[in-house]
Amino acid sequence: MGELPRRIQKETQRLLSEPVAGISASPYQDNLRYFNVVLAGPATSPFEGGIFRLELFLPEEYPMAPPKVRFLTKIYHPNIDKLGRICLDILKDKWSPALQVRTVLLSIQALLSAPNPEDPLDAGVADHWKSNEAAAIEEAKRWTQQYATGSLP
Amino acid sequence: MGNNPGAARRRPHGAGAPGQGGSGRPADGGYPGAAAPPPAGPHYVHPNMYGGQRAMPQAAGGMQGMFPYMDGSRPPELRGENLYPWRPMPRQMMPQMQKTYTIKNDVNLKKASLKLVPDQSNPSRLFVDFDFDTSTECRVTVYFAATEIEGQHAKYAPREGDAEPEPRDFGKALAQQFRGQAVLDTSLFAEEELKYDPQTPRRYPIVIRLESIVAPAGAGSSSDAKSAVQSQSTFATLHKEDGGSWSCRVLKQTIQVGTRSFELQEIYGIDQSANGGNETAKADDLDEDGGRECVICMTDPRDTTVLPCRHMCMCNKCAKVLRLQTNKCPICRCPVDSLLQIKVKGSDKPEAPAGPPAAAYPGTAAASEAK
Repeated sequence: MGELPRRIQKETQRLLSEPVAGISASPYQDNLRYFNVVLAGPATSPFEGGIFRLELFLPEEYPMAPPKVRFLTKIYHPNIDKLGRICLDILKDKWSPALQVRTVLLSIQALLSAPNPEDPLDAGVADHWKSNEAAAIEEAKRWTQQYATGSLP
Repeated sequence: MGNNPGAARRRPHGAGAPGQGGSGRPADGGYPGAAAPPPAGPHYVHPNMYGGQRAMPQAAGGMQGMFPYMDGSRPPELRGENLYPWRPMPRQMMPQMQKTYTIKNDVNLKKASLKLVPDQSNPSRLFVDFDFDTSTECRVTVYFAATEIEGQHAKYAPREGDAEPEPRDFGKALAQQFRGQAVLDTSLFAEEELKYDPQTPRRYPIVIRLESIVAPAGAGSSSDAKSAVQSQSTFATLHKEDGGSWSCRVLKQTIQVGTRSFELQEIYGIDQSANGGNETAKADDLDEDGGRECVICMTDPRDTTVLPCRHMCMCNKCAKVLRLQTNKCPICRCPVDSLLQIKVKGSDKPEAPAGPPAAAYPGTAAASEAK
């Protein structure tokens, strides 16, 4: 299926040469459209101190179609479901080809800082968040300590 | 190479909703635009898109691989799953491609250079100073509290009782300076006369008209003279600062071409593109900021502007692809009316003679044209 588009080569280069604080993304050698992503939980969020692994894939249509991103590390968050799928508008109808891997990952990091239980992907977690936010945050912290225990490369 | 990892091809869930893929598509044959014949004239890059439903993908056989889902179906990995509802555009919503008409702009006032300089000996007197380019001989007239004369082109009437301001002539040269030759005596005007009031939309505190003086016969054919810009008008309003000093702000700039009037509008992002637009190879390797390259392929220089929002953000190639997929501007997501390709010629020269880049299109200007 042809050569890796120039845009993906460039994005990859820049991700590696100018990494964003708390975010690491590197392509797998056997498939340069498939990235191993490691994200540090943002400070002052229930995910602080956690290290989250994600997978990111750039489909053939990219950048006309959004990247596909999924959490691999378990996370207790109203906009992320049990399969790690993320409810984020820019990954769906609000995608624009001017966005990049870098901006997508920054948006995901921001989503961790600002959970939005009004637009839930996991109804259970969202209900918990709405009915007893303090307890939900405690649960999210527990999950973070239990599962998000890796380290940034 | 092992492409298509498991992540790419999610197994379609049997329980998914089939047929969802085409939901945004009108019934077959229902494209209102398809019946319209292509407008005459050389300025459409893609006459094909008017040629009925099958035009685009089939006409360009080589593109089939690029747009495998032109029929509105969804890629196999997305079918039956509502995760990524990105899909090709219904055809009638596709923005049109346009190439620019070039209008030779002989006179241009550099908008950013316009300022009011108080007279040292009498601070209520303000010099109206600015820089301008002209590629013909040119006549500058500065009006104060003047009214645009209805039904006429680029003609202004001074305030009642005021004399017609005296025009100043200049030779042809770029980067000329207009200094101390027009004086606004603020003590002669009421404060409200110096502030633009939308209630009296044709009255402007300051109007600066630059007229190109073309020799009646001789150099250039007559058709050249007809298509040349006859004048440019810059409209500005004053503002009294807290300290009592005056500043000014440009409201708009219009150009007069024959019997038509156009409003000049800036294009966002053209600066970066105009400066480095020619050197693909260089832009390719050395730009850290990504300011010049197309936001989509990140490779070719930008040359295509989205209208009406005026974001110059794409190369022509990507614009053609984008057109088939969405009608939203990549930068601001505003609906796209049309795509405008602008070729900056001679961009190896540091400064284009036309002055600050701007596109003229008869959007808001249509009103003044109608009169």
